[in-house]
Amino acid sequence: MDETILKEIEAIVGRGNLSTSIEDRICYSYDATNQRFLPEGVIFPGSAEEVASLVRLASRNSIPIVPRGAGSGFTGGSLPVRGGLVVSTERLNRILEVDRENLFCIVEPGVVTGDLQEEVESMGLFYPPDPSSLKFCTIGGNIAECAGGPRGLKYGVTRDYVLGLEVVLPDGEVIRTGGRTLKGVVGYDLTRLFVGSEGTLGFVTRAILRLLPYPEKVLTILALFPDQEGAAGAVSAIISSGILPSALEFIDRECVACVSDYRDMGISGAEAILLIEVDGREGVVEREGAMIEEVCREKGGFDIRKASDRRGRKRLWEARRAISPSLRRLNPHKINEDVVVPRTAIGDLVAGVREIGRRYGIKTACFGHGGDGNIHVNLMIDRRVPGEIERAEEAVKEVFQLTLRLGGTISGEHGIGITKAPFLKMELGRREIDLMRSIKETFDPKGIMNPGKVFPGD
Amino acid sequence: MERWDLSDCVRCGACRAVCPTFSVIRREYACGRGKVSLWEAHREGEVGLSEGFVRAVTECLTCAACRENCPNGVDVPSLVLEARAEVVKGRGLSLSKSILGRFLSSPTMASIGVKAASILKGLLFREEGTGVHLRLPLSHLSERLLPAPSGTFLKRVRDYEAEGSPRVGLFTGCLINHFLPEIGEATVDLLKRAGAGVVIPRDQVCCGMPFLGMGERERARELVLRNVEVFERAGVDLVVTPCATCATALKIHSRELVDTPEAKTFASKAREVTELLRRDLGVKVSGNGPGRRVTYHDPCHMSRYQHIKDEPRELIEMAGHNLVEMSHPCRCCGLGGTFTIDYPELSATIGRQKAEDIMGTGAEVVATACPGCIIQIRDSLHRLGGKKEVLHVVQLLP
Repeated sequence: MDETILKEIEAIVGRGNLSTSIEDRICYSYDATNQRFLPEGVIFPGSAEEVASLVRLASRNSIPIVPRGAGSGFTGGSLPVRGGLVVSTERLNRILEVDRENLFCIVEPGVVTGDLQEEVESMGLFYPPDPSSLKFCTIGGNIAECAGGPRGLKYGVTRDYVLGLEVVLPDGEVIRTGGRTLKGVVGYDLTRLFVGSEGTLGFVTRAILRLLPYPEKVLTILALFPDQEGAAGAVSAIISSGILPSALEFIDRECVACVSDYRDMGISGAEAILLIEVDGREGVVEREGAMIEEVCREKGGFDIRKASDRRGRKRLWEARRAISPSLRRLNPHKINEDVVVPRTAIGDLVAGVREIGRRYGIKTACFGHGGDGNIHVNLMIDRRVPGEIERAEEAVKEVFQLTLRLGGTISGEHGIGITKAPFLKMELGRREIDLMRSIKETFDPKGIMNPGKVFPGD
Repeated sequence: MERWDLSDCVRCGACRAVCPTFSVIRREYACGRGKVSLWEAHREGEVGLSEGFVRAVTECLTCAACRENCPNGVDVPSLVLEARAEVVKGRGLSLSKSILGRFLSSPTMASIGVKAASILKGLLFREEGTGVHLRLPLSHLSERLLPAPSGTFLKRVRDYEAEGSPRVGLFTGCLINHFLPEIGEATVDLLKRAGAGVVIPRDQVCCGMPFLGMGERERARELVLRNVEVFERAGVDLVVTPCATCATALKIHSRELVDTPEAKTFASKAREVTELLRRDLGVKVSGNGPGRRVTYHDPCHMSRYQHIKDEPRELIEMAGHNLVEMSHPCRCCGLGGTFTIDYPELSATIGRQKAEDIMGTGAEVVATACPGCIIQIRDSLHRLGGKKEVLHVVQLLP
């Protein structure tokens, strides 16, 4: 990159906050897709003003800007696929304000989601979105990808908590969307447009997030099922009974076998498992728990365990948490797809995935957020086996076809990035894609803001 | 070598959540997946033994928090040790580390040094709180609260022997030998009262861990060979050490460094002291008199390398003390062996966090099971102005 441009960048962010060393470029070349694209430099701005100056400079010189939080995305949102500059939010990590009366907080994008939760919880407040990477992923990344998590069923996803944003547009101008109020219908909802836009429309430098009162009590229930139909049926039956659990996690028999092989948790007799959580007022939670237990039993559930203390709940979650590490027993490499189907179709999806796996000779395992139909479909492969990747790619395509046939969507919470871009057309029509492209064009005519994402083949 | 496969790292970023150095530095090279990426790039010739590479592999406490938290158990600490060995091969050791190494690997040099220091104590050091401060403006060392040099424990006790069963060899460890002999004394006392025989071979040498940490694998190997021979000659049933780090070296690294049946036997006989007391000897202590309010810090080499967490706590509570947990008892104290010499400020920042967690408990005593942690925690508390006793668990037992 041009020396004078580097000098200008250094003048903006200060020495030490720009690196062009090969070591730093390598360290900011990857994300959880485990793919690698070397940027030309990495920048660590310390304020929104610095970001704005940087983007202005990049725009003038047509240099790609790639916003990056923790680099924990699964679809490549933070990968510098066209080179350019990675702009990390590593230093933009302050919680600026927590307003108890008005139930919102204002944060910088580099704040770790789990840190924010801990902070507001200590004040009796609640920020519900809980992607499984919450201990290291950032709010900025969550906003870019519209991250979800188990609590999505009851509490919604990141987009339901973003009240307002401060964004540096691709020409370097700073705009503010939304505000500090829950309601607001003045013009188009630009806030929602930015949430889930994968950093392609602008660089979020500040977010106003909605908070809730922290629930008084949480009850966790683990139920084993002798067959998958029973578990899938229980999911729908629980919701139909009028209860909205704060988590309703589904674990299929392949996962049960892996976890049991990994560590004995007394679940080996199950063909499917549900992990259910209800939260709210003392008394109400217990009543709902009893109702759920009854529904589970009706559907064949057995060995139903409950806990409401921190330790006991943690123990019940152990089996669910052990899935990811234990799946490696099947094969060393994982292709993880976060498809969503209407919850009544979970059974069909899991059975269909199993059948696809059988046909392609690929091991599969399904688990995830059963309550909102967001099932993580995992294809466990060994990349070293010739032809396995190709077969897996075909199998993934069929999983997507199945998902769409069942009335679902191909990404619930990971976004499109680069890994799902080739499949965008499976779900969206030409007109929809054209509309989205023209939005991108309007915001970023030079195409410098996180280029090469979302849209296929450009 | 422990088995570790780099392809197990899928770059998920979970290591970012728990790495104590990353939490301060906030740059990817500091966390596990950054180091894995750089090591891979080094292997492929993309990155040489550059400043950036060397910093990435030395600026690590090898606390193993990342390995414990990694969904695939990627063994970053082993990678770091291997990489350091490569750095030493390619660039040699720094002067300060070679001097330190000279002292550590030779019992004579070490005891002469410590002897000289203890004679010149008044001249060299100023006593303060639970330790001493160096009077000389010697880089960062003068800011640090150091343990007072005490003369050599091994020399003092000679070739101590006491009858009993099982016959246990005491591995003292350098820090206890030269600076904290009271821990050695308390250990001997406990073993004797438990009816065990005690042997303290005088010609034992350093466990090798500092050399492994510096990347001097060959020197570490020589020391292990020596200790294997010394303790075999002593004819002991078990080898015990009150140092968590030495225990890790004896149990795990000795067997990796030396591939002989004797080394395997030696490793299988090695025990950490609280583990020996509880599991092997089934010792039950009971308190006499009012217990104290004690908080326990888990040394990384105990909780994560040896998975010993319950035994020290059981002993503290059995002795009648009131155990209050600090938040994050397993978070590294920030010493990291020679890390604290290479990165004194970073080490102090991480230590401060530990000291704050300790202050939050309101405990009067901090117990732990590693002399390294004791030295670091005393220093960190001193800097924060916190007045607390920092002791080894064995010193809290009646």
